[in-house]
Amino acid sequence: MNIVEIVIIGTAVMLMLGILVVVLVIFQQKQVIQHKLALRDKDLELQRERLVAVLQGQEQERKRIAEDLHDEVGAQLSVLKLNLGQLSQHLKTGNGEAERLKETKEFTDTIIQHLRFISQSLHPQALDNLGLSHALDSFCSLMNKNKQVEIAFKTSGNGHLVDREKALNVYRVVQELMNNILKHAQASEVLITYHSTPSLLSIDVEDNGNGRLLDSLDQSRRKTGSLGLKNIESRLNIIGGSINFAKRTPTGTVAQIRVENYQPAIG
Amino acid sequence: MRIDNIIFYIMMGIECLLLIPFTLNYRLLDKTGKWAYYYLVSSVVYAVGAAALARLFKNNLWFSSFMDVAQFVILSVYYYKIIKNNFVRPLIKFLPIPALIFFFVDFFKLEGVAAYTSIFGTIRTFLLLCYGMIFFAQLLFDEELVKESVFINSLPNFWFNAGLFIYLSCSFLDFLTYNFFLKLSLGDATIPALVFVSGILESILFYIGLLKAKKLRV
Repeated sequence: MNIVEIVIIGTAVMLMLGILVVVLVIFQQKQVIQHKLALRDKDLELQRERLVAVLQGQEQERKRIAEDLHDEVGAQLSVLKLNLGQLSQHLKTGNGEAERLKETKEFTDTIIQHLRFISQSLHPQALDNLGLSHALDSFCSLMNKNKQVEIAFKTSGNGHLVDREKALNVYRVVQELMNNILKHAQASEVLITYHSTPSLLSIDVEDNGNGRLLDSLDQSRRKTGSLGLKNIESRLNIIGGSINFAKRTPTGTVAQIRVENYQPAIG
Repeated sequence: MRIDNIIFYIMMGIECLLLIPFTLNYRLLDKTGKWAYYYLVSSVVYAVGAAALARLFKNNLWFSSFMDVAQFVILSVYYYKIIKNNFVRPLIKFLPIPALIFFFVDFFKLEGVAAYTSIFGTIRTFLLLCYGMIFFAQLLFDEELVKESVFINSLPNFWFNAGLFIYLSCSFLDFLTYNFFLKLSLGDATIPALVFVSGILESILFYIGLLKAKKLRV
């Protein structure tokens, strides 16, 4: 082999080496990034599992308290109401005791109603028994009894079953939205529209308030300690849903909740 | 016509064509991309000038030597701008001065005016290859890129450097042996043909770099 041939081979080898180095650099960096992304995905999955566990624990605790309130304190108050009713029959003197007893009975009624509201807020029984649509309807009726805001509920195509976990999370999101509206929006009317197709569950919460809900949510999104919106986003994130806020014409805000593949898994 | 001449004219044609999109998108290039563009302009001048002088005077070696110096200065500025290492940057800034002195020694004393400055050309190529390797290493170990999940093949400078690296790798032995073969009259078409092929590859990679620069700006 003469020197010219050696240089030709050397040049060809150098060309190949140059190309090889470029290809190797691309693949090496790609591998590093893919490894890091895989680690990040695992970390996110772990965080998600922890969040689900925390929320499940919270729900169980709420359910337990709601049952205690309903079954024990509620039952005891009902007995008290019955006793008061019996007492009023035996009362003979007319020195105003009958009125006092009637007031006490009414007061007991109010306590029982409040207790039902608290119990219902802690854990909606209707959700387990009748489904999301009825639970939201019942929630609106309860809110109407206690607040100044007039809440209407409209539903269409509600024949589709909603997965229990997803239903509970959507219910909590609507609850949180209502809290925000009552706190910030100064609305007099709220309309909750429930609509479901076999693949998409849509719930719109409209209020006729000052429209500041959107700004307050935007501000709270930037704040670190804002639990309300974080709660909403976390819950929707877990069930693969989304929320979109928009200004409503002429006044107020519309929150659009969307959940795909919401029906319970078969089998 | 010899095969190396045919490939040379193909390479020159591609470089001239490449100037069109580069010039049209000049504003999209960042500071470093602009230096890659200047290098491309110098390559076109190099190729066209060398071809013209070879036809007119039958010797274009002095021109090649001067163009090598000009390109070394342009690429030193380019690498100075893209390399972040605080130890290497002053070296890149300082090295063109001794290199220039060495070029004149090589041009007037060692190889002569009528020959090609092989020794300077080899040292220049070696230095540029080192800069290219340093830049690759910088990209590989850039924590910021990994953290942001930025793939290096989305960066225009990666493609510009890849083009330069392939061309310089291939031309290293050619520069080293050019005068030696000239003196011994061992002319062979294969070595320059390979170098011009790597020049074509360099142009293609530069074009990919331009596309990436456009993508980043849009």
